[in-house]
Amino acid sequence: MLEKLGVPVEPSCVVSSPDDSSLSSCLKAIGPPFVVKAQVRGWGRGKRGLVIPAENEGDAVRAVKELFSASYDGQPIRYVMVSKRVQVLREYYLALMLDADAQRILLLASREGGVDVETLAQRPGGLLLQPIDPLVGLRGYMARRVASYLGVEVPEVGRILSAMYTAFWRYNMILLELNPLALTDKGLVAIDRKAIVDDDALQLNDDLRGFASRYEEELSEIQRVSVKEGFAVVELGEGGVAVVGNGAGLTMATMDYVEQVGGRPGLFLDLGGGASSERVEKALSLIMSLGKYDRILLNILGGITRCDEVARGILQALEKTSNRHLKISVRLSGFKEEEARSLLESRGIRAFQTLEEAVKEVIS
Amino acid sequence: MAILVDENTRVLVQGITGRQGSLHTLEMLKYGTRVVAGVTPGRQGERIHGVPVYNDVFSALEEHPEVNASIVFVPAAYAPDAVYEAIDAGIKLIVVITEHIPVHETLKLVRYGRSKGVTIVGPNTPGVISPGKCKVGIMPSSYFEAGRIGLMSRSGTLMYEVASMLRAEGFGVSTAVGIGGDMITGLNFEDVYSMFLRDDETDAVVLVGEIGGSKEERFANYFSELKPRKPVIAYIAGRSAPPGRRMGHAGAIVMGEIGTYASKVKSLEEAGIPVAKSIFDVSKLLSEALGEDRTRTPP
Repeated sequence: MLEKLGVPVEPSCVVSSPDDSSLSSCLKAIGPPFVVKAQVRGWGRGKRGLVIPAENEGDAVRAVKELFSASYDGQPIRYVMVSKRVQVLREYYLALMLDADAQRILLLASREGGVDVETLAQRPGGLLLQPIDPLVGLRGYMARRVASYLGVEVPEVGRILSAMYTAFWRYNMILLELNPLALTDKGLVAIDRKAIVDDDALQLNDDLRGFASRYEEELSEIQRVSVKEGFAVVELGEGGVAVVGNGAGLTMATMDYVEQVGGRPGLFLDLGGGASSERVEKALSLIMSLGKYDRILLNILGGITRCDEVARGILQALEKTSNRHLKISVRLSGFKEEEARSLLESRGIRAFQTLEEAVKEVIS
Repeated sequence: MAILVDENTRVLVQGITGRQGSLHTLEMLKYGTRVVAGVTPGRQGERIHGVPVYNDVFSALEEHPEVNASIVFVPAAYAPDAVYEAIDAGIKLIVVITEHIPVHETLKLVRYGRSKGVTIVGPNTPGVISPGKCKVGIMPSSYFEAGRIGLMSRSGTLMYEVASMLRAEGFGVSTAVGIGGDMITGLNFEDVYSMFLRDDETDAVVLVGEIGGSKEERFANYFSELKPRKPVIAYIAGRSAPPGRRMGHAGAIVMGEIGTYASKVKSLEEAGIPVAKSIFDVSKLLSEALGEDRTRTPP
């Protein structure tokens, strides 16, 4: 998509399996020498042996096979890119990033490519920082400034920056990195491109929907259910206390307190908007279905939510489990909390008024 | 006095006919908030809990020129448009409850709001409450007692929790402001604090932050050079959260070295702001900071 907007890239194609039928025609179209790269969600693939140079088609096919049998952070490699290997004279770094707290965009440029930006930022003079006000946008002087800093041609880098800026907005990018941007005998070529897009834009932006469905294929069962129900779930470790709350901050604070008093949080689940009986039931059933957590701590600050409804949700979820070791501790506060407590306690579930008591119970 | 909202606030509800909009219009009315009009395109002429509905903000303001605040319940895909409409119609305080607005949209609209002198609270906020006076938000009012402590928080339910703990220790709240859980919010901590500084009904401020981004670090930096100032106590959620994972809020994610719990605590403490180890320690630290001047809600 960057190429379409005018960022020069080397000829390349992406395959989704070692026996992908398009591989041989792809290799013919590109021509040797090649470089074969695993497509991963993250950084540092070169250091992990996930980028393999290949002199001829046979080597390239072997490299593709090898990469599909490798993994990255425990995740299987789903896509491999085969590119033309270009003669690199110099390497640069060029990026756009959202500087959220300053409410602006930052253009970053460095004379050193292939190095991660955190390292560059620590070197004095290692990075050129050019803020962009979103109401003003990219201006001509910025391209001139970057060109003179990098020592490259103004029109060439201007075209690349303008394409990057368009892509940044069109695809709701939080980060767009050309690293390295290589100077070759044919001019500048972005030989490695990385982008992070805003999760909240995936469903709203037509240009991103294709990526959203590809992303969903890679989700685990628990993530799939969470996306559907609007839960936020983070797994921390089997056997720990599963902490469920309504609201991200409250759930984090609950987890922190469990840890502070000597417990070990195993899972974070934020119910998100509205703690209805149905949502509570779904969340608890999801946790129990994982079979990794015997202790669940529920912290519900109800307000106008009816706590007796929440209690019914808990009881419904419990009816479906046969786990005899399951220990649930509940802290409820809000409308009809007394009714909720007596409902739960009639079925042997401890329900507390304060978080301190509830945590003590679950880690005991 | 309080900040942002008080007895003189007259509220327009954008998205008033939706489930959330209608429910919270009723809750705000019950609390005593003067909700004077609502907007939902195509629904002009209806009434929601007695509040007249208009097709657009401009028509609503023609009939109700006293409106000086808007609260937005419009779904994420249409919320930015609703906010621009309110800005262009001249409303100077806009509370955006909506969650999941793409951050690029928020970036543009908060910059536009600032350029027009408009205060945007949120997005992804529970809103603002000045206990006993007015609430423009969705928070359960039962947790908020009137008093002299300013409260500002990135998290909704955690703000309610802290307010209820303050109440249990005899502290009340002048105004509680949910700045919002997104990466970009119309108000940052320093904006809210500077309002509390000018408010003669606020003696001290509680900051409720969380991991991710650098809002707390930026506040610490601002605070360390400030004089005179009112005491601040902080609590940061997410000490036990792993890096690289989004903890519910769009803004609650540690990326590399940025946004860690340790970095926030270090910045705040170096600026002279005590940080509570757990939410249960907030009241104690607040009492210590206020010392002899300790002010409690009158019984």
